[in-house]
Amino acid sequence: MNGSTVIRPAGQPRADLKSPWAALARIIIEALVVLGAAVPVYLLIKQALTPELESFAWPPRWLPHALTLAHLEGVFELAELRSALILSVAVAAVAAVAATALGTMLAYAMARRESLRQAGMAGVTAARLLPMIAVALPLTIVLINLGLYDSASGMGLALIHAALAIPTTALTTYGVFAAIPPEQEEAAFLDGASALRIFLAVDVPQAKAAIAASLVLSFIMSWDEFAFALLIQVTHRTLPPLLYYYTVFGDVGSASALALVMLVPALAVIIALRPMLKSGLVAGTQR
Amino acid sequence: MKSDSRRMSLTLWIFAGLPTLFVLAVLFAPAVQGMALSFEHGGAPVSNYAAVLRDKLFWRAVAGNLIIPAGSLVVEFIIGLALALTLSARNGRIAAIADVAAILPFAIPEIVLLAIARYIFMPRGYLNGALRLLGIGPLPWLIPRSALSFATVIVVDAWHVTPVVMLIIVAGLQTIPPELYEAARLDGAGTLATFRHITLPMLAPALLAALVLRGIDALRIFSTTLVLTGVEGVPVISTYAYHLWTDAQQPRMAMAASVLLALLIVVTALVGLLAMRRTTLLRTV
Amino acid sequence: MTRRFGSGGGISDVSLSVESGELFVLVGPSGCGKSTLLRLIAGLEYPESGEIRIGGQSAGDRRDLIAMVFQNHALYPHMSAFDNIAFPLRLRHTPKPEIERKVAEAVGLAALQIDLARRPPELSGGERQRVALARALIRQPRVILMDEPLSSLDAQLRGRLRLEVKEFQRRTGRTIIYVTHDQLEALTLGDRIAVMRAGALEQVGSPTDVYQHPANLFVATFIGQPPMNILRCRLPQPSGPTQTASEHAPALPPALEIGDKLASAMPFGLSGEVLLGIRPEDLSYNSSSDAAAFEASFRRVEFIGSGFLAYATVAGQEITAMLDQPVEPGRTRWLYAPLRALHFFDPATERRLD
Repeated sequence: MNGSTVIRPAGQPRADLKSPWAALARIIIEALVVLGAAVPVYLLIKQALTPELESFAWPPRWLPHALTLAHLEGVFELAELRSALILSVAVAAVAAVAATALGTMLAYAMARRESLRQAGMAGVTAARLLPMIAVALPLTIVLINLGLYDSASGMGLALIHAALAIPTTALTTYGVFAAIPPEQEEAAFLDGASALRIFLAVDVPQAKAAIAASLVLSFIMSWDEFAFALLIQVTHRTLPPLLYYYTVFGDVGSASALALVMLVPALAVIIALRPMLKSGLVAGTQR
Repeated sequence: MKSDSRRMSLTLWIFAGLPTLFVLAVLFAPAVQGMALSFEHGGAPVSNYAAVLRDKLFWRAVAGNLIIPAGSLVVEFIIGLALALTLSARNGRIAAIADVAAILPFAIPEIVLLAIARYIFMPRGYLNGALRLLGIGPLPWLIPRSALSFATVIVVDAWHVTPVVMLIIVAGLQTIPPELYEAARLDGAGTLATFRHITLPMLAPALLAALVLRGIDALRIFSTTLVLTGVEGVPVISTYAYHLWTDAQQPRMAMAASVLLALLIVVTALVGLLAMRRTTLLRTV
Repeated sequence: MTRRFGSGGGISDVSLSVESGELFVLVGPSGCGKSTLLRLIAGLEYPESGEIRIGGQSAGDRRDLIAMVFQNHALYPHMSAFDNIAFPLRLRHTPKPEIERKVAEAVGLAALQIDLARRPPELSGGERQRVALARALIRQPRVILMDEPLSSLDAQLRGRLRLEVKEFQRRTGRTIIYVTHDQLEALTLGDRIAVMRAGALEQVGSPTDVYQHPANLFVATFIGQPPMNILRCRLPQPSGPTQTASEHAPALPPALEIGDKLASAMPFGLSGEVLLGIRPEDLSYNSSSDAAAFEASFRRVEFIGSGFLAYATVAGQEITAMLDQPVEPGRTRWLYAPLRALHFFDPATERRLD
């Protein structure tokens, strides 16, 4: 990439660029985009870093007059917030590992056998059709019976997040496996390797990048996930439901600081992973 | 050596089977259980459904569940298309920033975005504050049951998802061979004509696919309305079911409502698939 | 010694035996089944019927007995050359010092002179094939299978490596089964070659045999570059040596002086049409007592360095001839071919007539 990662369908009419109206329109649109994305984030940062009074002023202030780190400090000092942070990390980590391991296995099977690929694709599509509410409500019953409902370890939620992320991890790693020429596996087979050995020694090393991307993607998906977290982890909360309650019932500063804590890793990762996202996005994003 | 090929087959089936069983157990089995639950009743099995269908709130939820996705789709695709066309036609650093900025709304965790939206749209929020300077009184952006609240939800929802649509369209734009544009220019086509006769038709398959996919996703809306306007505010079927489950303590009716939502989604998906197949677009599902 | 019978996967009824210590070449056009046959031998595919035996024993899991070099080398791109070669030994948990010793051996045999820490994407085509060869050799297999190993290399490299393969085989005395679509490779490499087409064996024999006595029309035209000329001829009637020329099936050269000789040269007493094959290099300006004569009108002559490739017409049919002197296009001259260089084929069965 030559410094700019802007996508270019070569051949868009050059006439466009020369017309001053078109250029103006483009600048306006780009400005709006930048504003539309930056302003809300700015507001959040501002709220997190300014004292309470400012945020409750009417009309609300756009520019900060005084800065404070009290809210951010509060986030890390309050036990409730700390435990939510730890829980979110734990759940996301477990979900990421499980989803990546299972998704990679599925992707490999899909890449090596056409019938499995079609079945896999059908399954992924079916999973996208499910409204989460139809699953969440009976799932709470199941989890209660298993003792995983609202657990301190959050493992019930981790399992759900893993299941939700498997389509994404599978689709992310599928392409790499499909691209490995079968002769390499045949050569390994002739050398005397078992099927599992072939997978681990020949295929997985070549898929390292895709596997890493899967880990990160599924981690972020779990980190961000709200609906199931709200329903399942009622007292031992992860960050998203906690943020919800703070937004509705709590003070602006703490809520904003919490939102910031949630925001920074997610943002950093997604921006870094931009090229990889383009395929995974269409495939795995769910509401 | 046949045994080796059989062992390979076995390995592949295990590799495919484990994840599938896992997903089935975690997602599909409860869904089926829930369906069973929806038919439980002292009296006739469909009485839960009857109760739901009699509820005015349910029909309001259906209306919301149709209006909001429709509105959101319109906004997403128009803006997404505009963004894709403009952002992709130029090089340079400004465009790079815009490229990052465009994807920002999607990169932000949904709950964070909704929290920000609350602060912006709430009665004493930033938007009303800014409008006050223009002399416009505070508007009920998020007040339950107001028409404006529908618009607000649509805007916020679209804001979150437009980056994805933009990326899909950009990918679609890149499949159009550049020679077509050059030929059109030589034929004397202006910007608008080019767009109408070349860009749009060539983009149509990708657009339709994206429309169907996003449409199905949009029908499952839940957290957006829950966080912005509460359960009673801009009802959609998901929040209606949630309300039945938690506040009204009617789990069976809640499941009935969920099943009806699932039915709506499946029907929409089938219609969408049919439309796509009609235009012979479906390669791989 | 390996023996194969069987059918399946596009091959029908193939029965073949390979002597140990020989370089056996399977040659044929694309899709003829030669690669499939090789894969059947390797055990990568299974015959629907028949069996494969190595060393007189029916081979079950024969991965210890055979090794294969693939067309696109099939090296593991994420492993170093050393690790690629050592892979089979590592699978068998061979101790480290022995691995190093054996790798060095295999590298020597394959004449590989590179830094073994490098990875396949960093190596040239020829180097990659040598690594693939070393990997195949390291298990000391009884039979080495090679599936068009040189076809992805450029012509010069191909020629050089071809020589090395031959010398390697001669030096080590290994049994090699080699697949190629290039008939030149087959002729230069093979101790014996098998010509295949559409899943069946057309002929098996030494290169000289196949070249000088092709069993049918296909082998005759496939082996040899430029390909053998095939002329449709009408036999003289038993009653007399007079020939009639028709538009469709022109008669043998009407030169009477060879008519009888030709007729006597043919060991059959049939009448009707016959196919006459002559290799371009067997045609010359030199007449001799026992040569068949052809009146040729020349269309085009190309200088190809070692001689002249002439395109001409004889009795309405096109031929090519390799000559040491050019002729002006448009002229007509007599060409001669010794009787022993004439091949006759039955038009109906395409088989050789002796």
